[in-house]
Amino acid sequence: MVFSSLTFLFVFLPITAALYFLPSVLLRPQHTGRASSKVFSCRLMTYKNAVLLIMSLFFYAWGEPVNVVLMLLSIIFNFCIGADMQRKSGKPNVKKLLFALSLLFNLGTLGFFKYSGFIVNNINLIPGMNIRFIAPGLPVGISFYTFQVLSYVIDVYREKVSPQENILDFGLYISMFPQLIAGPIVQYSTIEKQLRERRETGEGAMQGIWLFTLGLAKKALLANSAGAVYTSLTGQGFSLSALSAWTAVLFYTFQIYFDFSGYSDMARGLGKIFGFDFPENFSHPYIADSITDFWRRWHISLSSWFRDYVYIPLGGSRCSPARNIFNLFAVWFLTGLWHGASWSFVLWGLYYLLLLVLEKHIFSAVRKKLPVALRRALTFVLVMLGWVLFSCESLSGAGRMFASMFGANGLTDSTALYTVMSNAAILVIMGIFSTPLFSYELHTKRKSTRAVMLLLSTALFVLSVICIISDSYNPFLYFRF
Amino acid sequence: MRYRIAEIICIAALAVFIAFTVADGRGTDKTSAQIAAEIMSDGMFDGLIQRDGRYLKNKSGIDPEQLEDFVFYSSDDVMNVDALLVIKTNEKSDTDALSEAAHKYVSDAVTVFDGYGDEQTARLKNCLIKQKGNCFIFAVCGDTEGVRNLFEKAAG
Repeated sequence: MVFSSLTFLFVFLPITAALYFLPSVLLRPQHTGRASSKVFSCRLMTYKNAVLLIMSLFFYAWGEPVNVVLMLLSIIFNFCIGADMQRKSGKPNVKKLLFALSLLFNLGTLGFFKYSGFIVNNINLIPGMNIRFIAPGLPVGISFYTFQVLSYVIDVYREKVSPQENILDFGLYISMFPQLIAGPIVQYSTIEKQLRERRETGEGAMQGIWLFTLGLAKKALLANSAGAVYTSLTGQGFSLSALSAWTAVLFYTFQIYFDFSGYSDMARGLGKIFGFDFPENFSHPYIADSITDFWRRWHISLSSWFRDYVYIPLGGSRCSPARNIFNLFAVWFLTGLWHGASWSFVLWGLYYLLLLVLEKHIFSAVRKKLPVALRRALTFVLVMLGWVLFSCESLSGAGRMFASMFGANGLTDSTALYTVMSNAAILVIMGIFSTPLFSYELHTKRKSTRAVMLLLSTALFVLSVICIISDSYNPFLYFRF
Repeated sequence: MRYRIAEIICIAALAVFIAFTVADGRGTDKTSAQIAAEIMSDGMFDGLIQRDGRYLKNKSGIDPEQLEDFVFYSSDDVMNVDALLVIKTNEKSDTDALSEAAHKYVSDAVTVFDGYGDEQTARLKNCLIKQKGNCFIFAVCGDTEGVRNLFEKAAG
C-alpha cells in the first residue's frame, strides 16, 4: 500500500486515526490524583502504540503478507539481542559475539533478499559457471527497516542507548507505517523518548495534515506529471536526440525529487499527526552549490546513517588523505549498493565519490571563486548526469543515454521541441517548487494562517485525489529500495 | 536463558523461511518462446506478428535489456487489440514493475477506444496479467481463462 493510493487515503488512514484517537476523546481519568492520571496516560500510550503496531503490520502485509513473518522475526530477534547484550555487559567477549550474531542476522537477511541474485549473476559471468538461481522478491522497505534495526543494535552495543524493555514499543519503532517503506531512516536514539512520551496536539495535527497534503501534492501533481513525460520520451526507443535525452533526464531529475521528498513529507506529516517528530529528509537539494552541499540536503537520513555508522567509525576525515579517500570509497560504494543490486547503482555511488574527491582536493580553490549561481547550475547538471546511471539501471542503457545526450543521434527532433514547448509551464512550476521560495513550514499560531493552511490543504488534497483517480500512472520510485 | 532460546528459534525460523523462499522461487527451464508456443498451439493468437525489443519498449516502456528473455505478439490492425506478451525476468521481484507496465498499457489502450470501441474496451479490461515464479504473462484475447490455464501448465 502506498500513501498516494485511494485505499490508504480513504480506508486505512481514517480507520487508524479513529482507533488511535477515539479513546483519548471518549475516556478521561476517573480520579484527579497525579498517580492515577499517570497510570491512565501510561495505559493510553500502550493502547496507542498497540494500535499503531497492529495497523503498521497490516499496512506492511497488504502487498505481500508472507513478508510480515520476516519483520516479526526481525523484531523478536533484535529485541532479544538488545536485552541479552545489556545482560552480558560484564562479559565483553560474549557481548561482542551477540553483536556479531545480530549483524549476521540482519545483514544476512538483507543480503539474501536483495543481493543474492546480483551475486549469482556475477558468479555466472565466470567462464564455465552456470548456477541456476532465481532471486527472491524483495520485501518492501527491507533496506529502510534493516538500517533502523542496525542503528538500534549498534547503539545498544556502544551503550549509547539502553535496550528497549517493551517489545511492543520496539516493534513499533521497526514497523511504524509512516516511515516503514521509504524512510526517513529514523535512528533509535532520535525516537527513543517519543515512543513513550509524546503528545498529540491540535497544532501538531494541523502541521501534520499540512505536510502530508503538500507531500501528496508533490507526488500526485508534480512527480507523476514529470514521470509521464520521462516515460513518453524514453519510450520512443533507443535513438533519442540530444534535446530529447536532456529533456527526459531533466524530467526524471524532478520526478525523483518530488516523488521521494513528497513521500518523506507525507511520512513526516503522518508522524506529526500521531505525535512523532521525524527528522527532515530533504532540504531543497537542487539549490545546492556543491556536491557536498547536495548530499547535506538529499536523503539526509541515509547520509547521516552512513556518516554515523560507517564513515566516522572508519576514521572519518581525521586521518591521512589516502585513508580518507578509502573511507569515502567505502561509504559511496555502500551508498550505491544500498540503492540497488546492480553495477549501475555502484557506479552511481562511485561517481559521487569521484566528484567529492575532485571538489575537496583538486577544484576547491577554483570552485570558491565562481559565482554562486554558476556553482548551483554546475552542481545541478552534475546531479542530472548522475541520475542517468540511476534511472537506466543497466550500464549499457546508461551508456546509450549518455551518447544521446552528447549528440550521437542528432541534436534535436520535432518530438523533443513539442515536449519542451508543451511542458514548459510544468517545468517552471517544478523549478519554483524545488527552491525555498515557498516555505513549507508555516507557523500555525495565528488563526488567519491556520485558516489559510486548512483551505490550501483541502484544495491540494482534492486536486491530488482527482489526479490519482484520473491518472493510472502512479508509480513510486523509492518503493523498490 | 529465555532470550537465548528466542534468538535460536528466530534464527531457525529465518532459515526455514529462506529455504521456502528458495524452493518457491525455482522457475521453469523453458524459455519465453517455448511457453508462448504452448499457449499459442490452439491457434488463439493466429495472425499476430512477433515484435522486437524496440517495439516492446516503445509500446509498454519495458526495457528488454532488463529481462532474461521475452516474446511479444500483437496485431498490425489498429482495431485488433489482441496481444500476447510472455517474459522471463532475472529476478522474481521484477514482475511487479511488469505488472504495473501492463496495467498502464491497458489503461492507455482503453483511453484510445473510449466511446467507440466497446468490444475492444471489453477485451482489454478482461485481459490476463499473471506471474508465476519469474515468468510473466500479459494476454488480451477472447478466452482469458483458457490462456490462464495454458500458462499455468506451461510455466509450471
